[in-house]
Amino acid sequence: MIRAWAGRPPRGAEILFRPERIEAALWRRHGQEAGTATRRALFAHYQRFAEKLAAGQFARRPAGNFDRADLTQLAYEALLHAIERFDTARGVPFQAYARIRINGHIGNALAQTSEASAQYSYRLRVERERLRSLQQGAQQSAEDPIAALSSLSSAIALGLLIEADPPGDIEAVPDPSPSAYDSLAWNQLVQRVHAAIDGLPQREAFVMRQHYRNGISFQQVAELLGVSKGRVSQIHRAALQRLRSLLARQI
Amino acid sequence: MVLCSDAEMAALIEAAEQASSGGDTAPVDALIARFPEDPRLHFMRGSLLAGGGRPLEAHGSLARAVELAPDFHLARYQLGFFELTSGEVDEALSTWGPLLRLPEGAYLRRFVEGLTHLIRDEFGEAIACLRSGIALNRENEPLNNNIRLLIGQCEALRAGGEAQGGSEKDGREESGRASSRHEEEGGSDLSATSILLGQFSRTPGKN
Repeated sequence: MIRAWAGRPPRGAEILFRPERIEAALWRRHGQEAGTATRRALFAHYQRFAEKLAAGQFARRPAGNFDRADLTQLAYEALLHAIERFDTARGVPFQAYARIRINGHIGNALAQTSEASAQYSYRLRVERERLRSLQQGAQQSAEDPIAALSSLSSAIALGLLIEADPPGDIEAVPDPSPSAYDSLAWNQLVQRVHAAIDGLPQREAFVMRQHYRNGISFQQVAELLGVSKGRVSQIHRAALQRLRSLLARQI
Repeated sequence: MVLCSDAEMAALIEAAEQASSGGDTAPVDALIARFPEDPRLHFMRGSLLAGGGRPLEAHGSLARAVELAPDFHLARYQLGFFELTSGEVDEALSTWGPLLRLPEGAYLRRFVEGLTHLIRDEFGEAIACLRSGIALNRENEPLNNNIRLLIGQCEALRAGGEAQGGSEKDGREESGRASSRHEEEGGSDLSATSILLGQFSRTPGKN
C-alpha cells in the first residue's frame, strides 16, 4: 500500500520519493481497483490543494453571505466529482483539470446562492446534520424525556469539545490572554477525548476525525466511505455514544 | 517467446540515444507490435516512459517485462526501484524479494539489501551494502554512478542526523535538500545513460 508517512517519516526512503510518481501510483491503484479506499487516498492527496483554491477564491471575493468554510465545502464537492470523472488516459495533469472545475463550481454555487439561502451557511447545515443524527437516537429512548435530553446535551457538548481544537488556521491570531479554555484541565480533557477517538472502531474514528477535525460534511464523508449519508449519521451517533461511555468510565 | 534480433535491439538503442526527448516510444512500440513477448522491449519502453515523465504508463511496462521474464533481474530491480520512488515501499520490497535469493556475489542483491537498510533509516548498513554492490558490479558502470550519488546523500543524511541530534524537523529539511540535489544532479534510477549504455547488452536472466 502507499504510505502516507503521517507519523515520523522514514528519512531514508524519502530521499528517493518522487512526488509525480507518488501521484501516479495513486491513480494507477484507483484505475486497477477503484473503490472507497483508493478514492479516499486520492481525496487526502489533493485535499490541501482544494483548500488552497477555496482560500484563494475567498480572498478574491468581496464579503458576502458566505464564509470560508462554505467555499471549502464547495471545493471538496468539486474535488470528489473531479476524481470521479478524471480520465488519466488523456494525459492532462489532474490538478490542471481539477482547478478549473473547483473554481467553476465555487463560482457557480455562489452565483446561484440567494440571500435567503445563503443564511444557511455551512456552519448551520453542519449543526443541523449533527442534531438530526443525535435526535434519531433520542427518539428511540423517548420513554424518559429528561434522560433523553440529558443524553442529547452531553453528546452535543462532546461534539463541541472535539471541535474546540481544530487544525491550525494560519490566519488565526493567537489570543495571549489566559482563559478557562486555556487551562490545564481543559487541555487535558481535550487530549483525553482525542485519545478516546483513537480507541474507537476504525469506521467511527474515521467519521469523527473527518467531520470534526477536517470539517468534512456528512455527505462527503459518505462519499468517501461509499455509504449513505444516513449511515454516516448513524455512525456519528454511535461514535458519540461510545465516546461518552468511554469517558464516563475514565472520569 | 520470440525475441527481436540483436541488430534490431542495437538500432533501437542507438535511436533512443539520439532522440532529443526521452519519452519518444514510437520506435520501441513498433518493435513491441512485432515481438509482444520480448521482455527487453517492455523494459526499455518502461525506462523511456519513466525518464520522459510518464510514470503512470512506465509502471505497466516495467511490470510487464518482469511478468514475461521473472528471472530478468535487472528489470525486477528497476521495477522495485520505481515502486520505491513512487512511495510504494511494501510493493518494492515484495518485487525485490526474489533478488535476495541471488548468490552473495550478485551486485543487485547487495543493492537491494542496501536499499532495504535505507528504508529503515539504517544509513551505516545501507552505505556498506551499496559500496559492496558497487565493488561487485563490473558490468554496469552507469548504475554504479547512480548508487554512488545515493551513497553521498545517505552520508549527508547520516552526518546531518548526528550533528543535529536527530531533530526530526531538521532531518526532514535535510532530506528535502538531499532530494533536491538528487533531482538537480540528474541522479535518477532510470537515467537515460544507465539504461541505454549498460543494461541492454545482456540477455534477461543473466546477471
